[in-house]
Amino acid sequence: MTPQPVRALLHAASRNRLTAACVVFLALVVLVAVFAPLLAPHSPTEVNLSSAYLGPTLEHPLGTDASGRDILSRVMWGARSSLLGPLGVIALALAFGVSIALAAAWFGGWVDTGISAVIDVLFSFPGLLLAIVAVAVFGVGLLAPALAIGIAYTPIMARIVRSSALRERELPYIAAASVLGLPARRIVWRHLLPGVWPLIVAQVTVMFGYATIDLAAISFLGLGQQPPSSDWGLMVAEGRPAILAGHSAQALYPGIALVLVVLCVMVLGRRLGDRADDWEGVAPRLSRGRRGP
Amino acid sequence: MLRRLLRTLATLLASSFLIFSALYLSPGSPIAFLTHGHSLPPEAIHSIEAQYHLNKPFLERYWLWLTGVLQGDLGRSTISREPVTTLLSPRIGVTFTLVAMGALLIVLGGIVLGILAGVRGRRTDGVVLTATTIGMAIPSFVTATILINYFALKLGWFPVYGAGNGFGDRLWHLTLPAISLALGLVAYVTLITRAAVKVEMGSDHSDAARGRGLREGLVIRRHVVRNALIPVVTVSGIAVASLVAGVAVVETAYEIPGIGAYLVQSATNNDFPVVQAICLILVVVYVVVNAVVDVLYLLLDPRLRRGR
Repeated sequence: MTPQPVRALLHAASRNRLTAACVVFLALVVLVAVFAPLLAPHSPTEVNLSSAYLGPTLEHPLGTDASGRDILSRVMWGARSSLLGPLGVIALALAFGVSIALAAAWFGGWVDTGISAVIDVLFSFPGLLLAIVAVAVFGVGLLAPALAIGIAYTPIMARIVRSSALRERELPYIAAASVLGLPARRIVWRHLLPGVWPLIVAQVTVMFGYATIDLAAISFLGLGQQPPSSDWGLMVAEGRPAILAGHSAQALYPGIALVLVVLCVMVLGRRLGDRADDWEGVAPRLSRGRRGP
Repeated sequence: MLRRLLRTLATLLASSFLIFSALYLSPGSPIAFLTHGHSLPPEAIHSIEAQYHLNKPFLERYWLWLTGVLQGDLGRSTISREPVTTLLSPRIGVTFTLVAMGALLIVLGGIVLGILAGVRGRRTDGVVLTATTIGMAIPSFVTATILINYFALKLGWFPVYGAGNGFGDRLWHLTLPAISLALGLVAYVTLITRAAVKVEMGSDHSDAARGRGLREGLVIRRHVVRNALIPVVTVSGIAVASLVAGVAVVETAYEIPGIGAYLVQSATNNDFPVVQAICLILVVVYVVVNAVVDVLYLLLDPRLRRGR
């Protein structure tokens, strides 16, 4: 849409060291994911049984796994599917959730009643369960669970955006735009949407964290990415037998990577939510009349 | 109250319809899907056709399936050919115990920590706040892996896998799994409780009580906590309901023979009737717990009752 989310992020980061650390860390992870082929010291899939369970050395900073594969390289490559999946999930929830919510808030009346009823009913289907059903129907892989979780998140997104858009709709500037004779589509997309946008950004961030956990769980269960992929959830699952043999590195490092990413995303999400009120200079319209219904 | 009941029924109907119709979203014919593409003798195919009423129109099929479910007929496994109810009954108790233990952890741990953080000084608050943030970010299977590594393998305090026999042994086996299952939700409830307590600590009625010369302990017990608990009940209820969605992961991580781990196995093996049945059970529990909590909320807060 606009670089507004980026600006909001930088703005929040400039005020708080923890936020800044999270932004930097996540940027690094994204860079690693994008440039994994260039940055990873070894192949993530090359098996070498003679060098299984090596401790940390200069050549293998995090050691090697049960098949002698370099753990650092696997974690770096694993960032790709571990981030791409959740990205798909929130893209879906964002596109559908926001459109539905804005339609409900704008048209009101029976459209709103109908949409709200559907949202209420669908609200109560846990994403992870829907993802497992999707796997049972379409088979294992990243796509079906990601779609299912995205669908499960849509009503959550829609519910939050709808209530905020309803409030925003009552503000004078929307009425002013109507009086000016602007077409409805323009008012909704150019005026109403930017008004609720900060809340959406905060919500999307938090959802990205949950989607990361849900998809990692699916791949941990063996229902998502399949070997020899190095998706983090799958790496943890594959490392579990090694733990029994006393080698915890294989399960530990992807687990740490996962926790750190989710932690940073959650911290950012909360920060963006907190700041949704005082984003002067970022979204000036918000500084007035956002509080209270 | 009545509206809430109707909405719950609508949700249950919609969820069951979703679970039922998922079968027909699968690529290829339902028969091929249910038989895993094997060619079976015609009488076996006839029995599947009869079981799923594949010769009847879609909505009628749904109706027949639903009435069957309500009478306790969950169909037969396509792999072992046994009735699903027979397969599930030995497994459901373990899952129930696990969820109950998780619920206990949420209610006790979350609320106690939340009150502590809200009432005590800055240092306790800071520690609890940091811990909850981390707790919410750790996926249950990572918690499980860490707990197994340290408390089961290195220290040997708890068994590694399985569900144990007998009541005490079962509780001992399920302690680590329950912690893994509940950790994130305990953190969530703590966070909400803390916020609610903070609001009540600074409220006018607490200040008035302090002004009357009430000891701080009494102010907290009678004025702060009692008022703060009203929103906390709702959130704890939602958290307890959410436990249900997590059993699949935790039971798989600890190799516990409950319905959650069985759901994952059945999804991998395309045993669709079992997947349908377990999902249905979990979703019904989820929805019903949510509804009960809503009603509880009305009972706890007289203002809401009067408002209606």
